[in-house]
Amino acid sequence: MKALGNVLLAGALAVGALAAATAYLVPLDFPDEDLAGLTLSADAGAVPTPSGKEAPVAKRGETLTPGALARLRADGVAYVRVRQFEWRWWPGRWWFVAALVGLLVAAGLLRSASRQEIATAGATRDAELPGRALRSIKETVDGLRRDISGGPAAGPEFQSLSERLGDLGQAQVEAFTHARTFLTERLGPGDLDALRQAIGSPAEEDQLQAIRARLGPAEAVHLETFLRTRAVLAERLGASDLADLPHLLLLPEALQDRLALILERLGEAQKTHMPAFVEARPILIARLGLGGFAELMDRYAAAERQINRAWSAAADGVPAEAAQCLELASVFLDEALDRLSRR
Amino acid sequence: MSGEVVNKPETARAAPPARYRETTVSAVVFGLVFGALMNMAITYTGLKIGFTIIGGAIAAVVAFGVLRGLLGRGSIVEVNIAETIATAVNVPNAGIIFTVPVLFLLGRSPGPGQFWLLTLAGAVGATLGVAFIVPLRKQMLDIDRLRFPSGTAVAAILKSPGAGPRKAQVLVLGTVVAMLIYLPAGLPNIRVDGQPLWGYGDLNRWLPWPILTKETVDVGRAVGLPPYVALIFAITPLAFGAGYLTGRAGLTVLAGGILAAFVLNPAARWFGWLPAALPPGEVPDTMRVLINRPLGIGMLLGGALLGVLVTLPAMRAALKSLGTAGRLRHGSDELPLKGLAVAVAVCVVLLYLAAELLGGEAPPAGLLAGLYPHLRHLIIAVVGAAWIWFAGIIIAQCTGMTDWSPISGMALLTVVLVLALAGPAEVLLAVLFGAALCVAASESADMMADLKTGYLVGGRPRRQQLLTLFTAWLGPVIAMLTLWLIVETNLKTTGKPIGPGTDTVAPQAQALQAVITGAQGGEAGSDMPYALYLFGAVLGVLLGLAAFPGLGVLVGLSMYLPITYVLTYGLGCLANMAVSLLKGKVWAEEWGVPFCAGLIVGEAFLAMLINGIILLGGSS
Repeated sequence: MKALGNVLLAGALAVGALAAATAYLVPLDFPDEDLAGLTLSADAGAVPTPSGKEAPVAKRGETLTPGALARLRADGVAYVRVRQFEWRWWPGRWWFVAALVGLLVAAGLLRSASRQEIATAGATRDAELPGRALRSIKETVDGLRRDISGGPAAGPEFQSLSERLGDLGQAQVEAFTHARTFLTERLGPGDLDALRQAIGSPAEEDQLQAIRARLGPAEAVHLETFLRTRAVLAERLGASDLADLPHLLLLPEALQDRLALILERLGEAQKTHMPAFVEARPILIARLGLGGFAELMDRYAAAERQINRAWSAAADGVPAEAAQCLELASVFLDEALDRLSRR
Repeated sequence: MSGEVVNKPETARAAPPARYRETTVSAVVFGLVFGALMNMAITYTGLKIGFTIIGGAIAAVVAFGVLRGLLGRGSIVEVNIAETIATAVNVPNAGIIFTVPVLFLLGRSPGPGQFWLLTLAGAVGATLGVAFIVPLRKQMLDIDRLRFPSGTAVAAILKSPGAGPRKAQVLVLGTVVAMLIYLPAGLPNIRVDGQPLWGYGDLNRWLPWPILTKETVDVGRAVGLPPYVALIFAITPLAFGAGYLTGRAGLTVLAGGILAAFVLNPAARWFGWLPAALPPGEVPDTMRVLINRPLGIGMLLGGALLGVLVTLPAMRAALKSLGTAGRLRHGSDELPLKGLAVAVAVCVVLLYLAAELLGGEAPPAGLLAGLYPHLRHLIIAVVGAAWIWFAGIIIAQCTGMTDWSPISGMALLTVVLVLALAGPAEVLLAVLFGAALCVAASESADMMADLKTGYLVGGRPRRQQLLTLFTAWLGPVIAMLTLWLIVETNLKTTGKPIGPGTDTVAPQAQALQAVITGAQGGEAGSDMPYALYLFGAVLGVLLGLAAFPGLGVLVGLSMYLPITYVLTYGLGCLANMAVSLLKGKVWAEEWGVPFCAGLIVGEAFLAMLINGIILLGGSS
């Protein structure tokens, strides 16, 4: 039915356009009294000239007179193009009407086929596609929020660390991770590198002093907490465990890893789940109506923009902004899921 | 040690996060300066060679170089802001050079007061264009998800450093390929000692058929098609790239082009609907003026009208969301509707005042001849503003779906509309509204493309909207001042203000001149084929009913555009489909988008470079 509708649509459009193209043509078999006084909007007829080229019998802008009509008829001209339009001398008028009917029938066929397709999609697992895609996006965002937050619950290695160190150690881990998060967001890559070199190396104390000075007394508290708690953890864990935890060593790569993680996971969602959700438009419109679809897309688009901003912020090396955008994206995605569930 | 006091986590969390640079002084200054420079250069070259460049891709690349490279601190969203301002200041030149020079061509050079009123109309148009289109952002981008190929390409450029070195390399590769392909097409625009530089046309001597012009390949001639069947491809990587970025959806554009070039044109020739003395090679151009343009514009109008009606529920939801956004806990990311309404009201009042001051140069005539003069001007101002709103939607939709905008067609209709309302002698008034519409429409389309870029990189729409609203008016002022400078120089060197006989022939304004002269030949619009517009509109509405509302817009647009560009664009769409088929959709998007963004950048950059050379006197 869809193929038939498309063929009919194309055919009717072509016929309609062809018929419309004859709108200002007047057949010269009308009597002179009907045609006299009309103004030509294009040259008409052709007679050879001494130069070998052809010249028009009557020129654009000329008013038709019985004499001009006689010359045109003698030249075998069947139609002239005029400025005035009248239904009765439009040669393609019935073809145009037929084309309109054809387009209406095509519209009926295509709409019916479309409804059938959506109904079929609704009856199969395709109906769940937008919901699945949206939930996958939400999982990606929430997973990232968890993994980049740097909080006590962040990452499996910190969880296992907390378990190994017991209750008392857990407080140290918590304080340490928050101080570390602050420093990675506050300090530039150069300072982080200097800090990494200074850890455990008294010779580099002047570098620490320089960082303290840059942070100022209020913010330097976080640096002291970081150094103190890291020393406690290092003492309890031993060198081999520390080597497995780049976050603890505050390697510059740790920050880069977080940013790379955002770019990688959001990039993947932008390639897969997000297009999948957007392409489910017909299913969503069928389910929610145009108004409901608009409300859903309003929230979804707000979330998508925050995801895109998080990606950009990560690419620019600003993890705090990325984290903030992910928080907002998560809220908007919840709202979108809520709208999707309203049928 | 285990018992020592440690900082509370909350203390660390309360620390201020690092600021993400977005709206900065450097971005604004760069946007204003670079936008003004582009505007001046493009105004001159547009008057000289007849086409203009929006320049979004160029602005993005240069902004990247300046803000990130030289200043070492530009973020993706900051560069987006710089690009947004630069294009907002640049794009209105197209509206000015298409309309205002017609006054000089008609021997109606505006006096100083009229000059500034026309400038005011341009500035009002720019502001109206932004204020009218902002409330439709949600509708066009969030709900309809229009592609805006150039906006998507600019986003790909902005994201390329973060997307990894390989994607950046692909973008550079696309740029180089585009430059290599476009170079022989652009070089002949430069003349040395009166001779054009080497171009594609020079290759004809080695070919069995002369199928190349400086910027087209006549494949139809090579395969033996008659001259009235135009199977001619424009050599433009930009159109190919835009087609690729649009993908399968762009094929409907090809359908309209095929209908015009391969059905209507040959049929008109075979059935004797065209003047018998017309040489076969002139059939495509004649058909374009006589049939395809009015029918296409009619379809476009019908399709757009249906689109507005069908999407009313979604539009209402989008506007409702705009209205309530300010009360949400996350705050609003859009400009408030009330503020925009005030801006529109001020603009309509200014248009009315300009109409009051410019109108009345001839005895009352036209459809409103019997009305009190002030009421007549008020009606013209309100109708003009409403028409600008509708045209802005159409043009933004066309740009969103295809990257092309039918500004020239809309301007012709505007001029005819005003002449019909005010009388055929009110040329200044008609040009004033034509200029306002053209500027508004180009600003609307550009605003929406910039917002698309912003969406893709996560920019804040409110900031883009606000900055565009406050800077767009500068564009017409700069373009008008550049025009004034050119006219003064021409008068001193050639004795003519502009047009034939000067270095700036103003090809687009000559088209408008033909329409105005035709309208003045008798009753306003006597040469206008209104029935064709109407039949086109009916077909456009029915096409929209059958498939989707935009179908009439797309088919109409491509009937009206030159087939050479439509075919190259269609090749891009087909290339996308082929790559998706062979390598998968994800691959086609992941690698095709940066490559095609490179194609757009490459051609735009080279065209700008060539324009620069022409500007510096490389052409005689």
